[in-house]
Amino acid sequence: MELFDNLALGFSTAFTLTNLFYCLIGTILGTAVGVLPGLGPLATIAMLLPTTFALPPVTSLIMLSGIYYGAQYGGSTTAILVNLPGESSSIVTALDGYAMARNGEAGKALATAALGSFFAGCAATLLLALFAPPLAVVALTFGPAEYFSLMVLGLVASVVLANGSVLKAVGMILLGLLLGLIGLDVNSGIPRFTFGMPQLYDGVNFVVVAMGVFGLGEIVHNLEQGEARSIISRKIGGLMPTRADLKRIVAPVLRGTFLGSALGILPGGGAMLASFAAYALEKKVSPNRAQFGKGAIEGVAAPEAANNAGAQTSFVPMLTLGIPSNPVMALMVGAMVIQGIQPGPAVLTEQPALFWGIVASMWIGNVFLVLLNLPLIGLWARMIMVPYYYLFPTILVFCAIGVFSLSNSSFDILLMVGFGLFGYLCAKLGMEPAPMLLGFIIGPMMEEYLRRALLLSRSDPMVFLQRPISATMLALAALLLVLVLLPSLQKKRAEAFQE
Amino acid sequence: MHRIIKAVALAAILATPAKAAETIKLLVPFAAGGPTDLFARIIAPDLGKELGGTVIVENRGGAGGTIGTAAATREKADGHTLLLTTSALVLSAGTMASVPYDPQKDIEPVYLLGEVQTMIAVRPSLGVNDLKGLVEKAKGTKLNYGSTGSGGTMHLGAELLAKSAKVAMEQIAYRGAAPALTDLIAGSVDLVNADVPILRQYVKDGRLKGLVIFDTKRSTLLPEIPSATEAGMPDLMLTNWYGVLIPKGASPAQKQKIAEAIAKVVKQPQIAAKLADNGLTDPQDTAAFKARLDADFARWLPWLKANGIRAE
Repeated sequence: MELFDNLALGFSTAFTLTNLFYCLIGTILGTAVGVLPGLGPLATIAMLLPTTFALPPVTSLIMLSGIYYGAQYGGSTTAILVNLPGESSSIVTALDGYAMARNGEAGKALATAALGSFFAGCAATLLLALFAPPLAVVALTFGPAEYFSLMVLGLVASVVLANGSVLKAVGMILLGLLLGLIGLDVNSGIPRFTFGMPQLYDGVNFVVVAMGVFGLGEIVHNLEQGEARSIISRKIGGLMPTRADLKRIVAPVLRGTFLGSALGILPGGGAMLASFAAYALEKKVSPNRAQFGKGAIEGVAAPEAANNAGAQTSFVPMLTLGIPSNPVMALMVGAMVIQGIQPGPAVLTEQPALFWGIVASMWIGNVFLVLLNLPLIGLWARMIMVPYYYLFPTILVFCAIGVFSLSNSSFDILLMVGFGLFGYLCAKLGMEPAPMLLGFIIGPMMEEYLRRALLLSRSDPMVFLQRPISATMLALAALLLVLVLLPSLQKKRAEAFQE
Repeated sequence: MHRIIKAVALAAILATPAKAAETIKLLVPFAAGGPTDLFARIIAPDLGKELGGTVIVENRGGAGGTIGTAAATREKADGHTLLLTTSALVLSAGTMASVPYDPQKDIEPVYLLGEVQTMIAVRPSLGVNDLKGLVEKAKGTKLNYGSTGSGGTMHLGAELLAKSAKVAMEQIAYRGAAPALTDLIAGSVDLVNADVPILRQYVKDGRLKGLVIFDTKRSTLLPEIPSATEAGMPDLMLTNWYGVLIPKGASPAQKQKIAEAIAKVVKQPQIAAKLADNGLTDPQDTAAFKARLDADFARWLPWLKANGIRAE
């Protein structure tokens, strides 16, 4: 059994005192970074990169990876407690997680997120160990046409996310698409919707939009309701999921893990796409469909499992091909190069201790994260008990710090305030911000892939149907669209008959 | 309440540094994690020691480096603010509709950390083995090249080749060099011009084929690839420089002091090795940096105009 030999090598590498220590440091930092809104793993890893120069290569990569997947755990904490997604992959967690917190089930939601993340992290690491080299090849079969079709499927699926009217959801998605187009056009370098402001040349940062619409919008909305909120927060249910809860989340966690592992391998927004694909899927297949958006435990378990599995499998293309699938992985490649290691297929054969040591450290790291997070749950849940007039200024300050730290620009803070007002407006009008944010993230990517595919095919649109993977996904998207529109079509027909 | 005010006041007094003169801000006009940021973080700790203070790296990314550069030009030239930027300083002046400063007057060169060479790499399945073969191929079919968008060096490098060889090639733009290389390895695009260090590993393990270094001399990282001069197209010249600049108005003595400090740092064996490993070689003093900048402006601004590479 070659796998066991490899794993034995990995664990013997990861189980040295130094490596365990740095793995712990990485996961603690990652959790902290995930909890603090705005400060993401990307900035943290960039800042810590020079401190790793003096460490051995394996040790430094173990620590940096810990920061990355640790942040996936932490990101869900603020999403659940105060409706502030710390990472793009926790937007979806906020939908039902925050609703659970308002029902007095904050502890349960946090525990579910931690357990779901733990299971998914372990399972995805196992996949990484078993299939890393063949999986890496899959990522390369995805060309621009396939990505475009994947994004179309994602957008159609995001309509399913909406809990209210389909029309409003479509409107919000389109608004998100438009917001996503702000900035310099990649192909021609021409500024679009920038109003001559260089600050908008690179588009609006996702964190600014998410914090404004979710975080600030929620605060204004709460303050308007006055005492109503504090009554909700006074009661705290059980901190841990009951046996019945655990039964409910087994299937969603498994499905989320599978989806996350599959999408995480693909370059681009793997973990983020995975989290909302998992949510959309649960909303369609779950027996508790009606509860979604009002605090369904499945709506926390599935996306949390998906984003952690995705974070873990996004190491596959990086470690086996030397191809980074997201900016964090690009930094990891940088860290390896500084250590004198050329990432690529050779890493597996020439540096087996490095590869398997990182894989083994992920398991250890996931155990650390659960041990860290479960005891903290009581503490976090009690945070909701803090009177709101103390809590909201604190959130505001952290939001401002987080947004400012993105690129040290006060313009971003003003922009966040603008989105905060917009978020409040959305709350008043019953428009859900989640579909808008997904449109905002997917829109620009979709445009990019569409134009790239057409440039490469010399403007022949048939390219999307000629490639089997792409055609399959477009067919799925069409099917979904029919499913979504069917009820409203039937209603129309019924009205017509009545007349 | 009074107690709180007192405590805050006390904390403010304690937090005030004894001498504010000791922090030096090294502005990087690009996001954290990129190569420019990396070089800044490699030299910052030792540069602080040399200058008798602390050097703090501050990232002000955005709009192709122009936002951070504009911020630097608004600072005092008292030696407490330095800018670490790249060839983008020159290129943005030629490709952007307008930049809010004069790159030739408002900011002055202090020290050139070095240059990173660029090269052409193609996918092996294209079936070309040298520059001549590539030019032949490009005359027969319209090739696609990957880039990081209009006005970036990947765009200019490929266009330099296209104009010299009098062929037309299609630009396929990406958000960053990494996704462009992914598509090149997967075979979606045919070639790129990119920095040698980021192409090195792929060329070494045969997933990409290196054809020519855009310089008069070969690269120390990939010594087997011919230079443009050797390949018979000497006008293919494109290296990315990384240098430290200061807002206008600093005294020559001050510039010299900073330049000498940086020179000391980048010539330390350990740091020199780290920089060289990332492809950065040939540090140069203030006068040589100034000459290089002037030559760059004189070369690129007319070229960009003549070839219509300008965002309107």
